[in-house]
Amino acid sequence: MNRSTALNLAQVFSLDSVEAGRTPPLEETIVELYATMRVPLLSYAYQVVGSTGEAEDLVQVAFLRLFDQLRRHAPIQNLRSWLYRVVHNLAIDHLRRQGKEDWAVTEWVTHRALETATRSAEHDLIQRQRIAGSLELLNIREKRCLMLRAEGLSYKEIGDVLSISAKAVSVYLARGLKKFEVRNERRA
Amino acid sequence: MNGAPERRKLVPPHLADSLLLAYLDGELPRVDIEGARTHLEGCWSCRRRLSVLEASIDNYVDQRAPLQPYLALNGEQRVQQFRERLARHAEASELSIGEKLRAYGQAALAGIASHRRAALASMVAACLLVAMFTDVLGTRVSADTLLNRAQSFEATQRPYSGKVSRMAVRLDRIQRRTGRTQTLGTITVLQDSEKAIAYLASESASGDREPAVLASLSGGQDTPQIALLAEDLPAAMTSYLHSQHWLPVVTVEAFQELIAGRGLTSSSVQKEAGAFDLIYPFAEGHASGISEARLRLDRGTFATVDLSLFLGSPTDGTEYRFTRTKTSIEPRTAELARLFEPHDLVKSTRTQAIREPARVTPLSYSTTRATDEEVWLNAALHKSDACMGEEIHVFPMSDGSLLVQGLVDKSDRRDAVLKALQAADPKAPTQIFLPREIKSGKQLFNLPYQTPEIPSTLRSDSGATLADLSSQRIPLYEQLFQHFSRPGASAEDTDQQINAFSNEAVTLARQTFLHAWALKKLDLEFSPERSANLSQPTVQELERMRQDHRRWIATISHRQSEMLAQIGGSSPAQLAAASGGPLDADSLLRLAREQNDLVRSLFTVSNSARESGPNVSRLLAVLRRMGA
Repeated sequence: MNRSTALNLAQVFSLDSVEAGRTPPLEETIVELYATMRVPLLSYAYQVVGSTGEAEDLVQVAFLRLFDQLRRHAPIQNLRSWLYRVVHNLAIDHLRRQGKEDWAVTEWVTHRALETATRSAEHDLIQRQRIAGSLELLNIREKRCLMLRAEGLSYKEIGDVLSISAKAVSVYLARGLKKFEVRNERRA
Repeated sequence: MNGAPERRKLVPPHLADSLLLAYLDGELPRVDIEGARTHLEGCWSCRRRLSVLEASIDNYVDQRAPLQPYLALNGEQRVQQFRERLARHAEASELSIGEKLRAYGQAALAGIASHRRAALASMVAACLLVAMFTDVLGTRVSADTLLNRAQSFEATQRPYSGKVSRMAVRLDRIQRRTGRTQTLGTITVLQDSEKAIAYLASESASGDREPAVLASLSGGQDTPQIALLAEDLPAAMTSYLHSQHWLPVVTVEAFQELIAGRGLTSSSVQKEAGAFDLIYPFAEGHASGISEARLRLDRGTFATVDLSLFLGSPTDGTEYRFTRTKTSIEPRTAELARLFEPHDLVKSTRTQAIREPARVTPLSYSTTRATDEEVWLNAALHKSDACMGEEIHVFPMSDGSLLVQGLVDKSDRRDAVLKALQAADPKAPTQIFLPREIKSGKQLFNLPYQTPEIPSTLRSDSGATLADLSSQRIPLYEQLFQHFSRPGASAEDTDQQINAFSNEAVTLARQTFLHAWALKKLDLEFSPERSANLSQPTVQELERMRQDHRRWIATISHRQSEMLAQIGGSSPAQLAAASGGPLDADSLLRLAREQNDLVRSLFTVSNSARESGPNVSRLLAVLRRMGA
């Protein structure tokens, strides 16, 4: 978390000051927070649902829920893991509505290839398919732990998002990396 | 018994990938970081694995990057769109008055929730106050709580600058069944405010004064030996009190030292008229023989009144009671100050306050009873042949625990012994050193008993003593040469056969002696007095070990007799075992020593000319007796 995020978080939690009019209203604080955290959250949401449009919507809904939560003075222990958890749950609900349990990585890669067809050469597509093959070896938990870790979340935060213990996170991460490594070794 | 020792890994298990990853990610708990770092410094395998993991992370991040869309695109536009969406959302979800009230209620609850530790601590403190200062609903106060109260009171009674405290303690022995009380004597303890030192003088009931001793209160050496205690208390109890660095004063601090090695954590309180009895039971079969220690506190002031140690049942055993008869704070006069000068008094030291754990020391076999656990640990050593002349012993410790400690020649031998002990039930702390690890003799405890002597010729050898045939001849050479020489065989071949034969004879003689030694050692370790409390299966195991050694002695003796018969040392009739009942361990050890000496005189090189005939006859006689 960078300094500007930390500042925004401080503003979010000094609600008394917000209401007294000494700081910007809650809406403005939420918008600033959204501007700061949009990209990493979007990145995670995109990896789960596989669509930038859907991911963008899910992230915005998560911030609307944050607004409701703070307006009700409901406690939030760790804002970052709370936001990731909400995005995660929204994404899972979205997938279930579509009758899917997980966004297939091959589908994701194909989708990416179509999106960037004009920029990607053929070998890029092949390369992506190889990566997809590596990621397909991972189970859902391993994949999500790796995604969240790559976004910079701590083990505890990942555990909060996925409702598992920090120790389990470390095991999933290690197992996921190992599978990834084995696949790459075989290919080499 | 002679199973081939398997190599045991001395290196701790490698770090799991999840642990390595947590280490890389800075997610390892603080307590584990140092351990992981130390392991990594010494373990190539894990260091390599760590770098592989790092490479995997890089690989994952690299491969993932091209799959990510350019999400920062149109950022400003998206933020503006969200701002408008949020404004619409806020307007549509404006809170009603009821919702606002509910929100404030939730906020209040959230406040308590966020400070729940403080709230909980306040509640606990309130409950403790009620428990300590009232007797509401018959609330039971723990012994430790009362001990802390007494300690606080005691802190206010310490001698301040320029003063000396004096405490007189009377020692009584009370037979609980009959109520008979016998006063054994009085101990006077003077404590200086200027130096961390105490002066102890004692006087027996008959009025005999004993030499005074000084005890340093700042830690270091041994506790003083007070003649009154050494003479009137049971040896096991004295030994324990000595090991706990206990001073015979009726104070909380001294009491805490006393109970530190009791081997239990339970305690209870009895409310007597005007007093609290704090009861601290000792572990069953505690080496000191103490079953329970009690400290009596004045119910009003929490001042210590007396301290009791029970042998046997608290209701019908023996109680040793130390009663505080006088306590005073006196000016530190020149005369009193001189008492604390260490001139010709016995210097001694006492450990620091109870906050530091009491030193656990080994106890002698003569003052302790053998336990089932001790036998089973010896059985494990027996299985790994560690009973065969190796310096590995099971030590009964002052806290009631057991320690296996010893010295072996080689690391693979240590591995074998450790493996056998790991497979044993129960487990005990183990310290087995190699000679290079011994920096000073202090690492090894004095043996808990006097072991039988092992001849230096056997101690220095780990295997057989090889007969040297290069220049000098062994006494039986001519007989052996006649026996082994064959037509057409070279003298060199014959010498090789003689060499192998002699080596086997010397090795077998050594083994016979070590089995007899181990048998005698078992008798010393588990004498009838020490073994009185052993369970039936344990007694059977002890007997099995003894029979094991006896069987080996008989078998090897028979084999030695056969070898001598081969070279014409005896007739078949002489091979028969001698008649007579089984020998005791002492006789077997004596004979085993003799046969070992005889074998060495016959089959090893000596400068002095010896007559082989009578020695062979005697050797045969000894072997026949041992083979019986």
